[in-house]
Amino acid sequence: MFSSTVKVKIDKSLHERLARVAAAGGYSSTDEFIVHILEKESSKFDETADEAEVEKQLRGLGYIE
Amino acid sequence: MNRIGKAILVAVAFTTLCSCGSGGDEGSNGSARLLFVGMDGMDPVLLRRWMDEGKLPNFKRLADRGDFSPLATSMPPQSPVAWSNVISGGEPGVHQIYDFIHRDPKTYFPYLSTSTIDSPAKDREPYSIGQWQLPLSGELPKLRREGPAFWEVLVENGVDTAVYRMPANYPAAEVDGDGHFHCLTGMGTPDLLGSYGNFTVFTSDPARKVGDVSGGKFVRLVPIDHRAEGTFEGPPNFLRKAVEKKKEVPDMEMPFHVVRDPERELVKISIGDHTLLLSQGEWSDWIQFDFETGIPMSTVLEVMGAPTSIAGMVRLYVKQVHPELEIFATPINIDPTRPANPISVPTRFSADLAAATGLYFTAGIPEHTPEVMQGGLTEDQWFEKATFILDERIGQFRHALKSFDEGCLFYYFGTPDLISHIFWRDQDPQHPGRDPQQGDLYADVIERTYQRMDGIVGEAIDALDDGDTLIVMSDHGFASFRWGFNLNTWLLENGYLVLTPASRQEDVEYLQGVNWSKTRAYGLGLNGLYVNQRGREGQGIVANGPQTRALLAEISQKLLEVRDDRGAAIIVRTYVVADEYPGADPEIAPDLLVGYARNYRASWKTILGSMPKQLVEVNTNRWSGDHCIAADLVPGILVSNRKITIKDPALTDLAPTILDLFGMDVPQGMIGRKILNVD
Repeated sequence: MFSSTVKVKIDKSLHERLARVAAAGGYSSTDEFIVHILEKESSKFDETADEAEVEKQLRGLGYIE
Repeated sequence: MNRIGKAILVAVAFTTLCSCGSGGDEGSNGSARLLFVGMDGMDPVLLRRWMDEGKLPNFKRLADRGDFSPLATSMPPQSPVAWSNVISGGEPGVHQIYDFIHRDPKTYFPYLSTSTIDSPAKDREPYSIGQWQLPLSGELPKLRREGPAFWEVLVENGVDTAVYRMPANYPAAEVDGDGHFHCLTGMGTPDLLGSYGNFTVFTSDPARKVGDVSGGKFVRLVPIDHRAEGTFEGPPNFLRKAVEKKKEVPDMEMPFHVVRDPERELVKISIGDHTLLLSQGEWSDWIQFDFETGIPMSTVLEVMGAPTSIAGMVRLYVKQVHPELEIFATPINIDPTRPANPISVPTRFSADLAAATGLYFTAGIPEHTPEVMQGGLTEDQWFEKATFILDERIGQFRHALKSFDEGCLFYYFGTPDLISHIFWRDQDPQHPGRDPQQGDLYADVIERTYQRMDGIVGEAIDALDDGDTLIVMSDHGFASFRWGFNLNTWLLENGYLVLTPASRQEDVEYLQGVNWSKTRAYGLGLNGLYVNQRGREGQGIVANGPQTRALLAEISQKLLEVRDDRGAAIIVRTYVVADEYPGADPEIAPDLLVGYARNYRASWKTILGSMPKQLVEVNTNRWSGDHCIAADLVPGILVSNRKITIKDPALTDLAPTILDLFGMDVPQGMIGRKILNVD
């Protein structure tokens, strides 16, 4: 089984910049790098309720600004 | 349902189950009494100075009658660790508390170290009806601290024991034995929302930025014709089913109405059944109310013993009436008369105490320093609040003394610690955050607090008879917090921690963005450094054994060589946990404890896994004193009416000494010594 994929249009010059960063960062392909950063950014919106609660608990402690 | 909702649900179930309680009033052991008073954060240098200057006559009276000594604290010298040493008579390798904050090695995510929430069995899933759910069993908060507790041995052997607000002891747990046991939880007890506390400032001031801040929030109030409406946000509705996908349930709410006098500095506030008039600068008494779930047929359910609401309470302070309306609300505390969480043993004890002494703060750290750190209260307002909290505590101490006929009474005061954290800079001329004008204003606040503690010591001495024992002690001392050290920044700069190419150093929080495949060590908590260990950490790369040991030795050596702009050492000691604490659970414990020099501490950001650009940051925060440094630099105090028999008493010695005072053998696990002359 193959997971389904979609195409995303991206400016060519941006793609070239991303390719350079991906190579410098040791990624095996530009696609891998782009997927990585997209997953990283989107994960910020997937924060679980548990994590949000822990964060709230920790920040009420006084020792943390 | 998120964890807060679960915690509340649990608590309700617990309250229902435990409403029988115990609590006869007869004593069972006729031996001499032990009064054990804990005063968090009192420093031996300050104590000695003010005793010598004649400002603390009762401490001097007690020391002259018996003894006074610095008391070696725990490493790290953090209250949950230190008090766990007191409780267990053992070190962190026994009780497994190493910091305010631990981390999950699989996810690298931090959590509070002393308690958690136990999930219900899978075969006890809630029964669903439409948008509602009826739980068949609850979830219980669970204490993470391990090892023995001195009061367990006392009660098992027939000694009546009361423990008021011992830190790192939430939730309260029953003890089997012939002695009567009463316990009220302290530091570690959450507010009604499940956190250390969340204050609210309702404000119409457009200059005030609204939104969440650390430990609280600012909420817009819009007066129309001098009338305004607001809402207290409660815990999640524990009887509502989670909305699909979002996995969240709505919070319960309590609305309130405010009417402002058009001319005078006076407001009328209506909350539930309560209506009160408050002037500007006036605190309200406790306002009790229920957060209702709104479930249909609630009366029927209540008859069946199923709770349909949660009891909470707040105190309000009118900061300003004109031109802008501004009202401060304390965190919503658990109502001790109808406790939603297990805050006492027997369960009815919290209510009995309220009946005898009035309603009181139940949150574990009621002073809640974020209120002044985030501008919710001014220094004067916060100090006034800290003062009436201390008054409340002294009132309960007197009540406890009245019924102290037998056995052991432990009573905790947290005020010296919180006051020292906030007002240290005012009496430290070299503190970079010190405002000269404010410094003059608050320079004697810590001294005055010590004098209030002195008054308590006087009452304690006078309450005892010949043959009784009085121990007054603190868990650690204090130092100035002038600069913060970014441990994770240092690890990054020295190649022990690596970020992914897409990560910006200054944006990292909770270690997100770390390239774990290239990272060997990371910092979390106030003194903790962890090796990214293969087989333990989720994406570990360093082998356990010689490879880990070599890495720790290398990092230790380099950390001890770090110097600040003045050429002074920032870190004066490091502690390899496996060597210091052979019983340490490697899944929980840090691998290395960082012992900062006086005037330093872990920076504000590094504690939760951030790594700002600057290695050393100037601390201009109101939180200007601290103690999370090398343990030998911040010992606590030990003052007793009995002679201290050794030169280097430590926190771990107290539990064995207490058992010795009652003629009991010390159980396995307690490593401390007997340090008071019992003849």
